[in-house]
Amino acid sequence: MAVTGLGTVNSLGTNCRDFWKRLIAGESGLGTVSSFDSAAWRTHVGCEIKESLPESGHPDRVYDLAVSAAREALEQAGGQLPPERTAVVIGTLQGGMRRLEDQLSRQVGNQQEINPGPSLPVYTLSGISRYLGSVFDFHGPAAVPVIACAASGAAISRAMDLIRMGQADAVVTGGADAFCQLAFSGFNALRSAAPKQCAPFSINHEGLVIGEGAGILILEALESARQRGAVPLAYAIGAGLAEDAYHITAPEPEGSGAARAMQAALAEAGLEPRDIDYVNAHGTGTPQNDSMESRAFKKVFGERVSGPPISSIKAAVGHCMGAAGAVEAVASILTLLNGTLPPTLNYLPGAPDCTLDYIPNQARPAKVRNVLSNSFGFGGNNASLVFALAQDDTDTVRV
Amino acid sequence: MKQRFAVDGLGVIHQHGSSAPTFWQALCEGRAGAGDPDGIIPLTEFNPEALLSEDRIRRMDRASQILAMAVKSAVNDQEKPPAQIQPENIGMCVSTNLGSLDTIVRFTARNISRGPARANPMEYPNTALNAGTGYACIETGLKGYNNTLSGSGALAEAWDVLALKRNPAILAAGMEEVSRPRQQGALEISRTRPRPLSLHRDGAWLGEGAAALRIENKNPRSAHRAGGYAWYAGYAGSFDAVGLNNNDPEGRQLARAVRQALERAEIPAESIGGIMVSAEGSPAEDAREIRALESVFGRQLGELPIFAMAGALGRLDGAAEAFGALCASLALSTGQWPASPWFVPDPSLPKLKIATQASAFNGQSILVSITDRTGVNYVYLFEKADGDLTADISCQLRC
Repeated sequence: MAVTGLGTVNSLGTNCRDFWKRLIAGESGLGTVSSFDSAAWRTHVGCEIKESLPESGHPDRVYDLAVSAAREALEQAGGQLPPERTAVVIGTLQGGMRRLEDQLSRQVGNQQEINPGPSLPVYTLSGISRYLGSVFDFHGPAAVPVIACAASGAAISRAMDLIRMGQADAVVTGGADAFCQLAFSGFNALRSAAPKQCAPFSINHEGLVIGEGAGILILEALESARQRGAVPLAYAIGAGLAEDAYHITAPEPEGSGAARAMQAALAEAGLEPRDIDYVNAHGTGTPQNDSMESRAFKKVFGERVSGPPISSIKAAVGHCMGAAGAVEAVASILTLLNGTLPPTLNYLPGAPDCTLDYIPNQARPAKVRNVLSNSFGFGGNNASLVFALAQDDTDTVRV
Repeated sequence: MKQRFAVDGLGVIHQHGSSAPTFWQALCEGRAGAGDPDGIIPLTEFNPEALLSEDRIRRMDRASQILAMAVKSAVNDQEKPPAQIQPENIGMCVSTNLGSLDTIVRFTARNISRGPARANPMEYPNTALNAGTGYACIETGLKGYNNTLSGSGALAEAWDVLALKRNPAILAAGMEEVSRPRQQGALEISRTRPRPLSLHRDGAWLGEGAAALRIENKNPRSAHRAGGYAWYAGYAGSFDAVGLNNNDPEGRQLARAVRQALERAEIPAESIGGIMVSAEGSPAEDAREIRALESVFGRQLGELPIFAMAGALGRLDGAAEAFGALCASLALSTGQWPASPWFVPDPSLPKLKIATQASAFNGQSILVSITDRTGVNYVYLFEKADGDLTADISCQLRC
């Protein structure tokens, strides 16, 4: 099926063009946290969006993010998607948490009873697809996968299945999460937050840096896209979801669940491991993830350093939580379109198990036909997606 | 071509019972949920130690325990033992609207009032809505396809996973917990008692619990064993798209989903033998659902037995579809239609066949209507198992 539109907002840019330019230039959205006073926390850095969003004034910041990215993607897809045959599937970890935190903060400050009730209609995670569906008037199924940091990988997989099964001709899919205290506190409490920077697969990896953002893809049945004259940017050709059943937070150390997700995605795509030209890794920068994911790569692609080049963009955009898989899917498709592999920033070799080609610190030109993108999450969830180049002469979003 | 999947195992945790037989007996006896002045139907006998491992219970919050127990019961359903399928090939899809809301609010409020240094690292993982699913997988060892959705749709996703042969078997489940935060945000709580579709209805009571169905892609001609509660015959979904928490008062998108589900399952409307509805006791919402059903079934609607689950079970939000599917499977397999206590006909609604006593049920198929005030609609269809499954049994006997 065709990807006919892309949109993103994240700490590197509030559209695909700015995001991509800064990503391949090796820039980072890292900065001192400004969404709230971080003085009381162990760490003080994050990848927040500092510039104005294209869309604002929606019921919560997460809706601002999602609508901004969706509008960009829909404009690129062009024309009018069929309202009754268009579904919305958006992944999120925290939904409208900012609204809930604001309310609880006021109640604590005023020494009132804790009562989240008035915030729940906006906070509730299922609201995000309903909100987008209502803003853009889409009447197909509305669904919200919530498998932690793999949520938007699962959303895109679900979107593909809705089209395959004839439940929809088009799906607005991806993920969104806003910077909030919940994740910042949680990862600090778990000692998984990096105090200075994120350095995936690197000897100096100390943890993740929280980010925020949204990534939206317009997926369409190829025939339906052609009928309305839309130009495919790429094809979504494979997805795989698998479960560790090992630990609620820690990944299964050998990476067998992650490997099964990748293998399932490759099998669905009808590709061999050697057909993959680039992997956009989950690459959080925590020693546990980086070691596990590298082991999983070796299970899938073999021990060779000559396997596909791999990078994590989390040092640049932070860990966008439930939106990570979607922002990284957008990056993966831009990689296909532009023939440039985004780098892993802050990389220094020597981390245990991390012995592959991680595209250290500088973008690299390459001919790319097929890419694989990974997202993993608490609860033992693993999601992998495969995208393929649609055509060589597409220049719609090249920069 | 007609496609059908076998409902092979059931698990349930509810005030009415912690096994499918006891639960069903309570519904057929016309037992109403015993509530309290706050309008809730809580679990009164909840004993996670009976099924879950002790060391894991300490890590789980109550919501996760409820879900894990129902899933484990469905996996181990003694009457219908599971097929010998590898755990890597058994998936799980779970719906929950608010999941561990109680944990989320407690963690966040404590973080705000006492400072992040007091954030509990053991508690943070439970703030993810998929925590219960993760624990259920760890308990059962299931490692296949895995997703958790906020709102409804897990049963729909389970269908697609089976149809696309991602896994040959899957657990489809739903869970909702009664908590103080959920109560604080609840709308239209009855001050008397929940009487869906009834004269003088004035709202719902909040219910809690979990239901799980083990569903397998069995080939009727080569089934490895006899058994099965019912055939899962298909689904359709739609969305009203009139706002974040509003719906179309005419229920047009719900009606569209009903027609689509029937068409895709190749079940004529006149073959439907009974309907499980979402109606919770709201004057407006109940009328909307009936209007939508009437627009499809016309006068036939008055001849079909209707069971409004929320009357006996309480409002189950994300768990409603799993409970609806469970009730449909039990009605088809036992030939009994459950009672609707306190029902008094409402002359403003069309004539409805709702009985205050359980009755014999001879229908071949049941429609489950899932809809709510947010405008998300799913319709599920189930058929009696003694068609092809009986053929399985006789085939096995002959062999």
